Amino acid sequence: MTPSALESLMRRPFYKILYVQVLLAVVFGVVLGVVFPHAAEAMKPFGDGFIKLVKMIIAPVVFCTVVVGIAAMGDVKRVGRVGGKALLYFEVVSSFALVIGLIVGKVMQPGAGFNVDVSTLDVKSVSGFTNQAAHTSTIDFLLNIIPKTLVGALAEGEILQVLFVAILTGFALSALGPTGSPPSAICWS
Amino acid sequence: MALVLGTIAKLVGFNIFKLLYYIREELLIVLGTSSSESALPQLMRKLENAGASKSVVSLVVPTGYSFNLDGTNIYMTLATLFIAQATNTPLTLEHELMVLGVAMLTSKGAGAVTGGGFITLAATLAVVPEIPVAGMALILGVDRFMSECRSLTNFIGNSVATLVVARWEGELDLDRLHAVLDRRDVVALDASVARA
Repeated sequence: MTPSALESLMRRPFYKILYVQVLLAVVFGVVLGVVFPHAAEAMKPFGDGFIKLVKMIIAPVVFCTVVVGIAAMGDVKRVGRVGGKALLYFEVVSSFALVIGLIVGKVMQPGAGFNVDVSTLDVKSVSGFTNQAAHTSTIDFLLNIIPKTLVGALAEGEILQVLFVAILTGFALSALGPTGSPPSAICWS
Repeated sequence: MALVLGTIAKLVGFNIFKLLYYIREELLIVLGTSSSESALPQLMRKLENAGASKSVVSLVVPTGYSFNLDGTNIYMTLATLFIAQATNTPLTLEHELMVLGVAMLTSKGAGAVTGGGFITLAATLAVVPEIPVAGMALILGVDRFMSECRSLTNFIGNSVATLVVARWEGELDLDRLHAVLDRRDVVALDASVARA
């Protein structure tokens, strides 16, 4: 460990480091769940609240970083090139991931021997998910990337919509040139 | 997947385990919340600190979060096979390829929806009617844990993706990356990273 890292650790007591807190909370949750299952279940709102707090700020953060990222590149062609490379890489690696899942499933046979009788399964528990799935076709999905209103994307927090609006805003700002820098400066801060 | 990402990391010029150690805080937060978006801002700061240019980080991380879901993808094909095997549904190669193709599409939006992985699984299963959708009830109980694994894999995959694209674009400061991953002293970009 470097002297400065050590120093910064000394300055901050360990219980103030976020991941230590998260770890402690996980351990505490497990213990509580074993000892007092009902009390533990009653704690759920705290966890949900924490996640909601974090998600609340995701949309503005993503919006600002993407706008700044595009505006900082200045050149629309470069944005396209980086985006293209990113998407190409995503597709290749995602396909790898899909194939890995397939091969592992083939080789390990995780479900073999269960011999589940489908009629005994509780369909109701999954019907909510299947209904939701049935309502999302590819075209709906693509159209859904375009938000109802410009600020609607940020208000709803749909991350794809936020991304879409942010990319457009970034392009617009970089097309404006120097005139566009005051708004980008706001996002920088 | 560790092998694939590790190899990719090696090609780019860094050690995947050092990267994991570097982003350990973010990984723990993802583990605690089982949602990869909870540590997104910190991850972006850390990747910038590790020598990837701001413009690449700010484009790749948010898009990867919607489009680069390695964990969700592994889960998708694996879960489909599991349900088919558990319910004694024979699958032809054609079926498997169909699942592969559809999962490629359906997984794209998974990050944006809460409990997304499960809904997209339902959408994927729908293309092979032979597999009983009711079989999903078998894995609903463990979905919380599966969701942890998906988020973690997605998150790591995304960190690697950012460094790859940065390198490809010639905007990765390799010296800085190694210095940061080896925990040597570097001039921090901003105070919050230095503290972390």
